Amino acid sequence: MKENCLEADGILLSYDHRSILSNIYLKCRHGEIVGLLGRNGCGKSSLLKIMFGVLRGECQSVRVDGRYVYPAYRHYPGIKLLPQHSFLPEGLRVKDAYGLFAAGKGHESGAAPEIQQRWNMATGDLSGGEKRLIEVLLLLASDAQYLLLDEPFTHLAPVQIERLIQILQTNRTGKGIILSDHQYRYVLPLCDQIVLLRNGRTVAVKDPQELVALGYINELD
Amino acid sequence: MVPNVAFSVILLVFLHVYPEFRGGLMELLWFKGAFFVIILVCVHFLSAHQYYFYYNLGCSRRLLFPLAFLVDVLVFVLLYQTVKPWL
Repeated sequence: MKENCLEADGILLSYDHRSILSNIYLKCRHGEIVGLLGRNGCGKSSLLKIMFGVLRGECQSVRVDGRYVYPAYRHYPGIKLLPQHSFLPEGLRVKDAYGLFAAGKGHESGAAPEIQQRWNMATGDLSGGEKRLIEVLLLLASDAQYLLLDEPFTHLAPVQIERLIQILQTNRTGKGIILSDHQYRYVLPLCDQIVLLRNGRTVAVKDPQELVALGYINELD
Repeated sequence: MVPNVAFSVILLVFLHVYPEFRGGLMELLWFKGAFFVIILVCVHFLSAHQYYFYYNLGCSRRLLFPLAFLVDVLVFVLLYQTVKPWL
């Protein structure tokens, strides 16, 4: 039986003759949350963009359920990307954005409480943290099978991060989530699998202590 | 909206400094009435070039990039025609 998963490998990317990604293997199954860690500039965002299909490397292989899809966002509508920066147009109302993303179930009563509370607000009037939270909730409310979340905890207060973690845990069923963030203290307990991007390669991290040995952090709390 | 306007302002300043580049194609383009409304709707739709919003809804970048560029040009023409008397 074919496994439901998103896979990326054979990715080569370089900028100005400097190799960024060279030996990549990333796999995310349905119901799984994969944490992608790495230092600034190591290529995490580029890897997610290549998987989504808006960035082209020298070569890449992105597969969904064993089927080659590139650019994924065009050939496979079940993949969504939360970019590092906010992606909602400022003038759009939360209810309209929800209607677009959660097509078919776009009624207020079906939305998460955070969306209901800001139902008639324009996204431009939301604080940075509220907007980030709403963006993730919109992607979760969509029919996406795979979510690529690039720094979802950015701009969020600790209480909002805890709420978002709770939401991700609740909504993970039937979705595969790849999450990249520098807030490793939140990422480690949330994820089923941790992958460190280092020197252009993916390193599977079995034990958080390995992050110290691999030079990602100085010590584990 | 900001990139559209910024693009236009830069070009307007350029045309003010180098008037020899005025005329030609610009003189041929003359938009009025309802077309202005369409332009403004397009500008609003592509406000701040929020490409990922449209990607996540399944839109193609092959469509979005030329459309955004077109909006930039149209906004420029609109602004140019508006401020031309004072240039």
